Amino acid sequence: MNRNLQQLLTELESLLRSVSLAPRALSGGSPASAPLDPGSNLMALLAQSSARHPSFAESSWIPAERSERIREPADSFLEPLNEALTRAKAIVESPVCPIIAVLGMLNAGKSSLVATFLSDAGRAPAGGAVSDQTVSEQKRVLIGSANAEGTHRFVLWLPESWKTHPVICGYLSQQFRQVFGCDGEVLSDDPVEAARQYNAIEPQYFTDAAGKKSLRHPIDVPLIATDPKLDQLGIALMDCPDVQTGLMNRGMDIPRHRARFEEASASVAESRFAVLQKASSLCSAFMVVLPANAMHDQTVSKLLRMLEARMPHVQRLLAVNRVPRRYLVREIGDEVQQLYHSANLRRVYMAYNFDGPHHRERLPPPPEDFPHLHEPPLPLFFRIDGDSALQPPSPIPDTEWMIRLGSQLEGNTLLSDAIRSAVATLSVQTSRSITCASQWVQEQNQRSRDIHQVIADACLDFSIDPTSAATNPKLRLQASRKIVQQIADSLEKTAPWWAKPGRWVQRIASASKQSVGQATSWLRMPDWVNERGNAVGQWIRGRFHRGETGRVITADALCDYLAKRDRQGILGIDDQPVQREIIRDACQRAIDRFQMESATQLDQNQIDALTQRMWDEMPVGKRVMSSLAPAGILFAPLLAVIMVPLDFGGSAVLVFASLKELLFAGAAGVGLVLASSDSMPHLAESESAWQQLVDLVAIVTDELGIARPDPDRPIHVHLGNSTKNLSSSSLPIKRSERSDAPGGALVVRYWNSGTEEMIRNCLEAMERAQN
Amino acid sequence: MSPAILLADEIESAAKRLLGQQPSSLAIQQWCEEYRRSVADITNGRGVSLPSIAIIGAKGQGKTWIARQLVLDEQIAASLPSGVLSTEATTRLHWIGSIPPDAMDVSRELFVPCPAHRMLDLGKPYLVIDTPGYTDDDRNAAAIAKDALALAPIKLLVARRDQLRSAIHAQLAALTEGAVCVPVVTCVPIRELFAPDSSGNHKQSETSNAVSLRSDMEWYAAALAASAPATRFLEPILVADFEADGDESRVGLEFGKDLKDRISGETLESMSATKASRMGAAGDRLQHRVSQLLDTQVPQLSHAVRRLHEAADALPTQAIEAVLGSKLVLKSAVRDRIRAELITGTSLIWFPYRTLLSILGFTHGAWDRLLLSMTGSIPSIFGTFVAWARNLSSAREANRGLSEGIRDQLNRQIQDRLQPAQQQFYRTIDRIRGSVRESRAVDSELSVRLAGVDELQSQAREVFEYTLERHRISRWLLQSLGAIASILFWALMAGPILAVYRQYFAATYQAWIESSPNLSSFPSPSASMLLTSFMISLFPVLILAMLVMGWFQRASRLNSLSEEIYRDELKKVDELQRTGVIDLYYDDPLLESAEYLVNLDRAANAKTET
Repeated sequence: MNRNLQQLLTELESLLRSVSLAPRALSGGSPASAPLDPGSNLMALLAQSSARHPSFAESSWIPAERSERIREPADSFLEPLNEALTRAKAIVESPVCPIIAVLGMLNAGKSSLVATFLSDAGRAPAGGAVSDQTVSEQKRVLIGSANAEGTHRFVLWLPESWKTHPVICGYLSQQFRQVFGCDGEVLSDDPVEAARQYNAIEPQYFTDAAGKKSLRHPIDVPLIATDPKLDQLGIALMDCPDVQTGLMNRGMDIPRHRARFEEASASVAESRFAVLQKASSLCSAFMVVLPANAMHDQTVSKLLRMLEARMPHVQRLLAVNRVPRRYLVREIGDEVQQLYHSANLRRVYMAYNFDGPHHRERLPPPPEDFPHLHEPPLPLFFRIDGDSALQPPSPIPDTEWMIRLGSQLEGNTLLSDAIRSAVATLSVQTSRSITCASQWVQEQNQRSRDIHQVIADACLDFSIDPTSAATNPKLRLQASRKIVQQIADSLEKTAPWWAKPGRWVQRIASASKQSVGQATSWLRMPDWVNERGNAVGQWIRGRFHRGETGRVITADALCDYLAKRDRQGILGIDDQPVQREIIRDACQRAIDRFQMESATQLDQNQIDALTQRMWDEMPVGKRVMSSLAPAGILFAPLLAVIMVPLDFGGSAVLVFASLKELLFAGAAGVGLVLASSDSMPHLAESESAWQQLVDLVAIVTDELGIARPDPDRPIHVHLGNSTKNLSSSSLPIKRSERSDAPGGALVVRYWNSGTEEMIRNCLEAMERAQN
Repeated sequence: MSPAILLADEIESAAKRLLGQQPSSLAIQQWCEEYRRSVADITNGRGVSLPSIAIIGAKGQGKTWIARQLVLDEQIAASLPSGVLSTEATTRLHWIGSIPPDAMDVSRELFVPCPAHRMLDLGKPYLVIDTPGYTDDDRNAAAIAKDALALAPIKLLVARRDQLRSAIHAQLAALTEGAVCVPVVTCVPIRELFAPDSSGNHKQSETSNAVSLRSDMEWYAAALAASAPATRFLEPILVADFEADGDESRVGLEFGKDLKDRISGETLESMSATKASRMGAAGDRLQHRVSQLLDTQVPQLSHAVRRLHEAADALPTQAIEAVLGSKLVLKSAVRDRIRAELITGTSLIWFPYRTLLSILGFTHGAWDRLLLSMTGSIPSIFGTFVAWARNLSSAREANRGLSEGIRDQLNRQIQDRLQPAQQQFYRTIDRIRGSVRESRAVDSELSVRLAGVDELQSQAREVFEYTLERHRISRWLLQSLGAIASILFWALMAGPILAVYRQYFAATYQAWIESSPNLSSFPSPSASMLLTSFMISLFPVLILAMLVMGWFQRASRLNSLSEEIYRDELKKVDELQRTGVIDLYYDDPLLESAEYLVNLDRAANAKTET
């Protein structure tokens, strides 16, 4: 059976780790083939979902109706699935070495119960007396109700023979590393040192699995001890710390009012529970110990529920300790049955309280080999779950004593239970992970579509000319380098004879042709000419900033527009300042790239007509002046205006202004009053503006690290009363591969039902293989 | 309306307004409802006029056994079941005493009548409330236990000896905050309390067991105190394990005696006068709980409010930096003040030194042209006047900057900086609520005001004045310099003047004594001679005045003064922000609610510390 299971597990692992479950969509809209998309198997999907960018954290931002749907974030599945798979593989190959966990309530008698299974030599150091009172001082198993006697670590008591068994040793060592991340620490033979080890709560330096010393909490480093008596039983016992302790010394350091002490102590208890939960996968059976007075405590139910969820087929036994002797065995048995009938307990034991003078006849005489000389007396557990449970003083049959438990538990059966549990857990975890990954993929696809819409809408918001009619809005042109160059060319071309002297205009044009961006430095105009230009440039920049002429879009402004449209908070711009910085940088890169790559141009003839008209409208006085003085004096300010889009404080910006707005502003800057725009030649900017919008959306999408939309499903934008499709941009796709790219996690994927079915078939085969 | 109810109402309405019907809002509403019930319980005590003592603790700690020890009537005591079986478990609230409480809910409560004289004598009639276990697996019972915690002003917190380090006690102690609490530790092993002597009698134990008990008890008491700083914990009572002892009645009697001892020092009335502190503690708990929830469930809310604050907090400093950061304005203003100080500090009699100081002060940066202009160079005279005008203009600008610049700068920036933060806030709220807000609401007018802008402006001016006052040039020094300059000038100028006067006096004498005076004997000095003399006499004074002006307006002095003023201005901003003079105010109830909820815990802590 195990061999078959091993094969199936190997097959399942391969399916989970290597076979594509949700391949990425290629640009053509078809799914990528598996070898080309190694990151699309279930494990990788869960890892991606857990490692997704903080800005895409779903749980905190999604609206209520969506958060209802996503009950658990995907990242909580990867580790449990990995753990379940590793555990299943390990347990299938495990030798027969059952470990019974003894866990339960605070001071329930767990360590005392463990001590009943140990030899005198195990409980006390070699050569230690066992017949006098000093035994309690010298014991290696720390027993007692005082704080200094609490068990705060996992203590694994192994049969002596296992110490020299290479297979078992290797297996246990591997399991410890897996669960605790380190090898255990050997329990000292010195009782004082052993007590210190048991009771340690302060972090100490331990050697971890990698052989490095690191500061760890003692509860994360199990203690290991061996005992010859356990060889007879063939079982190991794991003495577990309780899960209620919370008032620890370190908690006292919390300053008053700054952090609540009760919250700190509750978190200590919760962390103990978490470690216990983790360690439970090592065990083949569980003995839950509780004092009689805690039978109705919710912690018992919580423990039993946890065990059932994590190790469903493993035996769970209950031991009720310190039962007041006024109660009959039957009463306790009935009470346990009534309280925990749904917990599927395999056996129930009880032990009467030793103290007090009343009903001492109910204390059963212990079996001969019971360590009866121990002080304080060890609990004498006997079985009470059967119909024939006897009431002391009737003698308890030898087989009903708990100390006979080891011989009654079949190692192979326990192992088989553990395997069934591990396989069942793996099956459940896999199913849940598939469901979760499927949901995650669907959401990612949806978010991907949403974010495309956000980018398109945001870009459209600032592209619309606010002066156009609301019912028929128009887009404004972005004064890109290409457009500026066109204007400069046109100015040169249409310049009249009187503007030719000094050939400044030609120089301007020539500079623009060679390098528009460096024109001002190339020209080397006199300072006072430049000053005039700068002053006009400042004036016009102010107008742009105030929105009186066109609109300037900086990286910050683009970021704000995205944030405004991103109602779901997918980009997380409002999340953390660092996230906003990342998006802002991406926006700046997008603007830079747009300025470099945008190839959209206007109709040259129409621009020429416009500039020609401008020259024509120039007043006579200016003409005279320009014929007397170098034309550069006149056109430096005009050049400054044209250069505004390229000269905005060091960082590139987008300047949305119609050509007329640009020229009008420039003309106004040099004291010209041109005719009203209505009288100017009509310029068909709209198509160019649309093309610019398409390019801008594509570049922003790239720089945010998001795949461009599927050409078959173009993005729609609403313009006035109509809806328009944004066609695909012809600009080359240069999707940002930066690790911090905000949209790195947003990938459109297809769900491969075939792979899902193969995984489910494999799980079913594993179930069948156990029957 | 009482402040306590007002607190719940405010929190509830703020949560509804901000979070709508989100799960976190519903949780807050439920807590507010619980808090109102607690407040009602604390205020009215369910209509019970007697002081009440609640016995609280985790499941199975021996609470009912403690309750039975307070009842002397055996029959009544026997009606209070205690034990490990379901039939003996306390699953309802037991009111034990002579007067039943109002509005009994029989499904949750039970009144056990017991005449006052049949109860343990604590000096005054009282009522006992025996509660179910706080950790009872029966959720209803646990809920009843939780609800009962607010009922009584005096609490007996029961814990078994072997459960002392359980985290649950800290939680229970925290829930008693504001009350009077007597920790009762049950099932203490006999060996920890007593050690048998040689004759078999019990005596006080001094063994390691006793030491261990004492150490654990000290530590337990400290833990309880840390969990509930506002609770008055009395000395714990240790109850021996009566089953081990075998004499339950003796252990019970000892417990009764110990309880009387603990509370004999104070009357039940004084102990029960804890309404205010219990209500305060309940309010703090509510505030803390809501804050915790908001921090964990909707962290983006506090982030959005924090961003608004950060933007607002940075504004005054940014304004100071923008206006004074480059130091140009400051240096110009300081220079102007030093110039004025030098001139006004020098008496009018020190002519022409004082006049020269005035000229030099206004022609700062153009002294070369000033000297050349003395040679009659027209361009230099023009250049000097231009410098004069520029200096005047920059001084005026600097003064305007100091008196109004910060306010102007702040008013300009408030819109630019706070609007994005406000928009982010609205977007955050929309996302939390899952609703899409009208865009016009998001882009609406700024609903945030920054108070204290005028105060900052006036304080900034004061800082400037105060700093310059501290570095004022001493009057005697200025007068001495004036005297030296005047002596120098008149020593040089005295020659021609004396010569003219001497010649004049001689001519006058001659005119008196001679019959035909000769007018030509009267002096007729040429203007060029006088001007030359004046200029020659003036030159050393000018050099001195330049040195004085240069020294007091030296770059290092201006720099250090500007630095000091700038530093003090920034400190002043800090101070005004700390004292709340500069603060954010909201015109939108939504923003107000967010601010209120986000700062709940801070407000509670501040109140506690006060």
